[in-house]
Amino acid sequence: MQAVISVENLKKYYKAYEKEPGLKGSLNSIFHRKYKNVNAVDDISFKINEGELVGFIGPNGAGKTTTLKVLSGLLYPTAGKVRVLGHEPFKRERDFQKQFSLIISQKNQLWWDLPAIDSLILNKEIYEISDEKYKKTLDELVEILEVKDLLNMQVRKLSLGQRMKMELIAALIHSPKLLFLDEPTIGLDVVMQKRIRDFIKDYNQKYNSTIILTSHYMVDVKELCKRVVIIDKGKILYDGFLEKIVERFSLQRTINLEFDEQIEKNQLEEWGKIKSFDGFNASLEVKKDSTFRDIAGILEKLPVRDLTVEDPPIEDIIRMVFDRETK
Amino acid sequence: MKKLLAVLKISFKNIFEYRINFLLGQLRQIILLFTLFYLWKNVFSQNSNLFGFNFREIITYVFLVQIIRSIALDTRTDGISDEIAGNGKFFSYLLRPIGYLKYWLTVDFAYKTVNIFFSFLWLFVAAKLLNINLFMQTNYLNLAFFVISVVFSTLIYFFIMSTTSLWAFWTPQVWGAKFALTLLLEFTSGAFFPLNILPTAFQHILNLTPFPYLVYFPASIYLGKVGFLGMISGILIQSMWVLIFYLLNRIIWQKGLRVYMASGG
Repeated sequence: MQAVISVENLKKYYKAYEKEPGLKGSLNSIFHRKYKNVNAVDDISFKINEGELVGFIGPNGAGKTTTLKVLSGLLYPTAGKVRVLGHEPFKRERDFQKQFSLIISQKNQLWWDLPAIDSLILNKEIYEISDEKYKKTLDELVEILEVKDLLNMQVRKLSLGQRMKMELIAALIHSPKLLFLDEPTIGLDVVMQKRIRDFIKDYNQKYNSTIILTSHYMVDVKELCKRVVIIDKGKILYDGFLEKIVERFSLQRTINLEFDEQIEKNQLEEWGKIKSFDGFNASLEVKKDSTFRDIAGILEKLPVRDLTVEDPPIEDIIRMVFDRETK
Repeated sequence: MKKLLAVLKISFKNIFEYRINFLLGQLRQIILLFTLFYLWKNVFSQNSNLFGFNFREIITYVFLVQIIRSIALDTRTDGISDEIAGNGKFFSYLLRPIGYLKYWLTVDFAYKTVNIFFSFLWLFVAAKLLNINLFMQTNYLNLAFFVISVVFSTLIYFFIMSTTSLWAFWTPQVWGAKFALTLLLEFTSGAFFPLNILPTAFQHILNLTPFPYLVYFPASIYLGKVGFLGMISGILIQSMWVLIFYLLNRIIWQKGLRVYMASGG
């Protein structure tokens, strides 16, 4: 199968201008400016196939948004080969532009002083959408996002969540095959986050559209993406199934224990690090490869009533991966 | 073309969304007309003829200037630098299949259309209230050349100002330069006074620049102060300036976009 996106050895370096603080710094900077080299994206490669929903995770400044901008044709790559839907994005060909959408939460393409519907009509003409197609798509989007009454309200009067939905409609009105979503749920309340997530999932499955999503919220990624790409400092640390992250990076497991009678804390110490203990209940952190031996030992020596084994949450593992990189 | 028509429509809606605000802004116009009238009336109380203008001609000139200004020297292109320096809105245009400059020219067109209507209205009201007998040009040739020269003047000004706004690709603080430029343009275009008031040597230098062609030249055509050859050569010079500033705009756009797309974040 032909990949929708193929990126080979992409690099995006740029110079950022640095100013010393204060008035003196400002004066100095008139004569000699200091520049700092930023390697926003540093030699990454990946391929994404049609219908995939891939999550990009990484801390602020990791290079996620920069990558999306390169893929959308907003930034030139410093080096490397990028092909998206058979096009070189930075050429910004009309044919290419009609097939994808980039949604960045701080971006607003809606006209603030007018109802959203006017901006949608503008986009209809810009993307040269036929009347029937426009009506059908609009009806569908409005229904899924439940915003029928809001279309005729001035955009500046909408709440953040409502506006985000309108931005989504404006970005999807030309039925893009490919979608880049940068932090789609940022700043939204939990209910709204869930709605947007459901919507993204639906959009992916219903139209077999290809979606890349970046997010700070692990929930977004966990619920939506089978495949994740972990990025930090412009490099890919991991590219693969989300489930496999645990297998690959986690070195510990947690054993939760409940006892029939009270035991002493020091009775547990030989197996691992005690995370919590109150006499009848305990949480133990043990090495992954010795988990079964440890359990066998505990069962033999202590009056265990109940026992569960947990992998650490994905959030913790990813944090650990980033921490390790920093060191 | 359909795309631009849609831009035109939404721009009109945007203007009329705040009609009260718009009309209040227009109030300035009529106050200005009154002020100009009494100012020049005072000047002409001692003389009947100054710098080759009689009172009726000078009043027609200053009133006509307000019309030309509202068409040619009024532009929304400040929005270009705001959008480029700001976060987000600009690249929403880069993502969509539409030309950015064409888009802004269309937005301007919407505002100018409304301006034409209102500036004629205010002119008419002021002329009636002040009981002024304005000079009416009846020669169709002059009127035709007047219209053409205003269109060219509009394009020159549009390309000058939108090009200036493109400096936002390099620095977010463009307004200082723009403010200075606007002032210079108003002074040297004839928007404050007819340029033949100035010393001849200075006029010769000015004529080498595009500025007198913005206001003074169209107004002179209307008043019949330019001969046939003068009109033809003036229009040719105007079209040359249009071309020069258009090309300059394209070059700076390309270069600016390169800088923008090479930067980070």
